[in-house]
Amino acid sequence: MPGETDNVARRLLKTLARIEDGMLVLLLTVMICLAVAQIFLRNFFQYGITDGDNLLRILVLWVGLFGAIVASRERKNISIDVLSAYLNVQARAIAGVVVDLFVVLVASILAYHSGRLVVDEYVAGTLALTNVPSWLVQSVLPFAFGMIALRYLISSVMHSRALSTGSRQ
Amino acid sequence: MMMVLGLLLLLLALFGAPLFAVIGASAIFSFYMAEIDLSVMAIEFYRLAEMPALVALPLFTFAGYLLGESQAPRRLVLLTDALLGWMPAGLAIVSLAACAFFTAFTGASGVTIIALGALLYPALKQAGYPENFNLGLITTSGSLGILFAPSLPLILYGIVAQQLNLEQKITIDDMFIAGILPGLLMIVLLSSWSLWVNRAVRKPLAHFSMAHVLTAVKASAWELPMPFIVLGGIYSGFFAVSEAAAVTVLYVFVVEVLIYKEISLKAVPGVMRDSMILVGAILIILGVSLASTNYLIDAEIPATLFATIKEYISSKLTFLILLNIFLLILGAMLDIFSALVLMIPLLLPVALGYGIDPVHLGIIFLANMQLGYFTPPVGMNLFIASHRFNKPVMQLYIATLPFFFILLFAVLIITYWPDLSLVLLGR
Repeated sequence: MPGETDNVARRLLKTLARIEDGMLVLLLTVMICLAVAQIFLRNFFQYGITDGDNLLRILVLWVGLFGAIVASRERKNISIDVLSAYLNVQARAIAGVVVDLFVVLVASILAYHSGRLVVDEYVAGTLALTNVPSWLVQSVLPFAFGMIALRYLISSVMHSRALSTGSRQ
Repeated sequence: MMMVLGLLLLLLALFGAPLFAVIGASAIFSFYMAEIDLSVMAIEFYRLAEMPALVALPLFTFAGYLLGESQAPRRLVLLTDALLGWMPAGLAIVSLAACAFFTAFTGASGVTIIALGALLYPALKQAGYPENFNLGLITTSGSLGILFAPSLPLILYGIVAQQLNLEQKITIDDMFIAGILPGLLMIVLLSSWSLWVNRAVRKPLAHFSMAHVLTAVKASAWELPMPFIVLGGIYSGFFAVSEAAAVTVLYVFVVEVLIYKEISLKAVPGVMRDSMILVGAILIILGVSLASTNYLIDAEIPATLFATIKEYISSKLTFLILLNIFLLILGAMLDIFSALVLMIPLLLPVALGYGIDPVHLGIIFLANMQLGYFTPPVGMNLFIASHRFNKPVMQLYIATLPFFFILLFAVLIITYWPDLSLVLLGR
């Protein structure tokens, strides 16, 4: 039954959203704790956490990408969008589908090529931190772009559904 | 082919395609045509993890969101009122000062209008100021303060400019110092205008009361040291910008969540999430534009652009006039962050060719963008204010008009008097 699969899909997406939000909060918390600890240790004990600064910089990338995933889910990416206000409902849905599929295309290309980078790094075996391989750090790139593509794909389905129910009425 | 694709991308952007996808697509296409392996997109994007100063962006953003959620805006207004409220047009000047201060710390994301406007708008009305003046003042003040440390646009300009490997080095600290006098100029001009417009409002002046000041100081006793620690730490060189950001987060968290308890621990993850959505939206644009900038520099497009412009415009003055006009239009179309990462890689090399200091260009750029926040038809703060105060956008166009011309005047002074930005740096 289509209703059944819809339900399962909806529940899956809800769980996924919770994981994304949780990761975002976790990453920022780690970043804050690490940044504060660095300052205290450096100024009072003349001591630095090994790789602390590198790890902070990597966290910026991760926080940024998880933030972008959530922004994509909630349609909060920065955009201009001045023309769609002048369209009627149906034309707006069509524009929505076109825009969504365009983002899916771009994000998929980015996901594919960052995936290639991760594989290359895996083969090369370079390290990003003392004990952390680069490919692991970079794996957030294909993951995030993949998730963004998925979100816009879902949105395009929604838009085209709105289109078909709109034309039936 | 290039032309058709460019138009197509522009059209997609105008119909609401996210800017990261538009910029990303143009970079992908350019590299593809130049037969460069597209993994360059990922390599360039990954450079986000190689910029030490960038740590400041999520930290300051989160601290700003926390401040906006707490009662700090109320205490800030109380304190400013106790200090400046006795002056003629006192409350208007209070609004300007409080908004500028708050925006500098929260990063000009519209939060000023929502957090402070809600307090100041009814107060101004009660004090007898005309409605359109109040609307104009609050809407304009929503972006006032982006020239003061530690505002996010100043930091982002420093980061983007550093990526270009210019001969003239530029640091974020330079930007923080350069913004002081131009920012003060804006406040002084707007205050004078407020005095002049309301000269007929003959309200008996309130007395300066030490008792009031003491009460207000006591109310914000925990928050008062923060600006001194953060700004003092940055300006004295004790903290790097990213360290100052970490200290700010810690301080704001301890004060608002643990001491004042105005934000419950349970509510903190929600604030984190909301603030990081903005950070993600900015960083993904910065990431793809690192790739497009790399292409621009490789293809020597800024140099070609400069050569072309130089053929038509020989004088620095004419260039600056055209720059102002261009930036005004740009500011009305694009938000400040996208405009920064998109245009600075193109504009900065050209401006250097005309002998403009990179720090000065940054201040010109940001001052212009500040106007863009409330330039019709699409200035973001017009819509935020319209929504917040339940007034038609048309009324806000009219209400902000006099303020627009005053700040335009300030922008012109800033543009044609480089020393105003550079004198404190000794450049």
